[in-house]
Amino acid sequence: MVAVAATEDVLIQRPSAFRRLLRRKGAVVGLVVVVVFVTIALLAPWLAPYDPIATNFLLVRKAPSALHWLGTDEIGRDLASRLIYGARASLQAGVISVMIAIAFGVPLGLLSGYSKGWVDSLMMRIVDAFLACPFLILAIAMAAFLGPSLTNAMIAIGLTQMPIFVRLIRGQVLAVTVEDYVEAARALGNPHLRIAVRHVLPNIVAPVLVQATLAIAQATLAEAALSFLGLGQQPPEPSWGSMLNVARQFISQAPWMAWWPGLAIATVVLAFNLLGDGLRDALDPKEV
Amino acid sequence: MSASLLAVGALSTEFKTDQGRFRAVDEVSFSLEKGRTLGIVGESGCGKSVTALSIMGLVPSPPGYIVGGSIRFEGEELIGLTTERYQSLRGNRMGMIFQEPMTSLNPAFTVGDQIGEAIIRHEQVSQAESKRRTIELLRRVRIPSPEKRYDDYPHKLSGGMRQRAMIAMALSCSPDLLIADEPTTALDVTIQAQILELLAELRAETGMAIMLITHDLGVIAEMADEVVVMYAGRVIERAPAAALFASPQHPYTIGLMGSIPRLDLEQDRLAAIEGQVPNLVSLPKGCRFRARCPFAVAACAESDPPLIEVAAGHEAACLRAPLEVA
Repeated sequence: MVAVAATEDVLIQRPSAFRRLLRRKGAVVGLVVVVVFVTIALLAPWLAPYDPIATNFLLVRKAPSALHWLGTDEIGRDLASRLIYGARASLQAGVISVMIAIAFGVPLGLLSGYSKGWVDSLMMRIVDAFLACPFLILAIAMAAFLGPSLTNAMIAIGLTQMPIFVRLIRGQVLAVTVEDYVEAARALGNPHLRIAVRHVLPNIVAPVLVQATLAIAQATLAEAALSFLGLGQQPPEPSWGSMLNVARQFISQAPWMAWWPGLAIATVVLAFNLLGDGLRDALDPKEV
Repeated sequence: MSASLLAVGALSTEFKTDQGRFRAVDEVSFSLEKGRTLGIVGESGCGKSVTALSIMGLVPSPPGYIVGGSIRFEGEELIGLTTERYQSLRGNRMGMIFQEPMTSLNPAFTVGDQIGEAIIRHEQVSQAESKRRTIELLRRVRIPSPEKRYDDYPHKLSGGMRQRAMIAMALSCSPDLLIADEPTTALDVTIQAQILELLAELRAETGMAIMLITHDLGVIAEMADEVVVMYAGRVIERAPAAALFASPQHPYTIGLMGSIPRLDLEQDRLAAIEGQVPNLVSLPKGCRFRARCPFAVAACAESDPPLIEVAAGHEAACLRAPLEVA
């Protein structure tokens, strides 16, 4: 038996997924930017130099200066402070709406993929119908239906993203349920719910994580779009989308009003996309 | 016959496909006593595994359905059993091990977690108790340093170790019946012998019955008390192992034995059975083995021969049995 132990214990070691992620430059840049923005959002009250909703009619549309280093807006509010507080709305909307999408998408996807048969067919046709509509149009329609507020915008974005998760999870579940270890779990007398939640779900976390990261980018952009249209964050509370909306009217007199929120949206969305791409590569079992 | 642990009677399992329905298992009957080993032999696609899945109630449905017969396990009819009742039998009173040890363990959990799961589920014991028993099981299947292996993930174990872990999992609640579906096919030969030896030892220790499915007559000769030979979904021969090897009665069994390499005979080439297994969707009339049978006569095309007793306890489904050895 000693000989057996010696010859049979072949250890196959692979660097952990996190290490593989850190080997990718793009992913590291994305991760750093995301962490920086999250920190800014969390520490907004301490970082912001001024009250983001305090107006000052002596400082209307001032260009960036030593006192207001990103300038001021049309009613004299400090743009840097608004941008910092706006990160809260944007990131919140990105993360919470994806959480809503996952909270509904995972159980529905599991149900669809695990039950197969007519339940699956019916759910997939409904998902098809959802996915046939352009994402933003659907989100706008739903947000308009729910009424303008940041919470409703998040719900609208989450529900609009849900079908993507249902479809993704269902496909993964179909692939995993034919694995021998699921058969083995059934042979041990496990009930269906336990097999689905304990044996199937952990094996599909990786693609869901990747999709979630990319979805956060999409949701952040969608929140900006909804706020731009007045369906998201309501004034005077700052959000990057609504800042852009106001800046639009002053694009020739005070272009800096549009620069910063535009730059912030682009940076965060790019960072989440880079991170998602990196995660996808790092979690790919074929990658070493 | 005394009360059998497992009595399968005229079991038929069908699959629906685009080409039509086919019977993967066609009126298969056999029985298995406590503490005995039944070998089921046949080539790929003959219905061995579907028979096992039918007993475990794991036939994928759709497309598979059990369309007739009975499966009695300790006197209890399994066909039509409620899902809950079946779930309380599986992993508890009957265990199963699979062909592919490399993919039969869930990569997301430690070996100990997976083995302990059945114990916790069926016997409602505490975490600590389940851990103690799991380590004991790992020791019983001769896994070295079981305390360390308990916390290992499956990818750290080799094929032989994983198959041992699978056996430990199947044995976790001391089943009365262990179904081993090609337990050694995916392993290399030295490990095969160790696993078979382990199964034999465990059977002697626990008194469980083993249903051993294989296409390897060598494995059967080593392990089985009784043998069922299947061909194209039917049982074509059933006999005690010794009798089967001493005087095989069905031409297919004879053909199978001719294709084993032997050291005690001068052979240039192994005898192969010519031709292929018939398509189960459109079976020819008459005996299923007729087209490949060197002994076939005109009468073989008339009807599918039933199993008849050719010697005490030895049955064969061949018109020409018992064959007079020329």
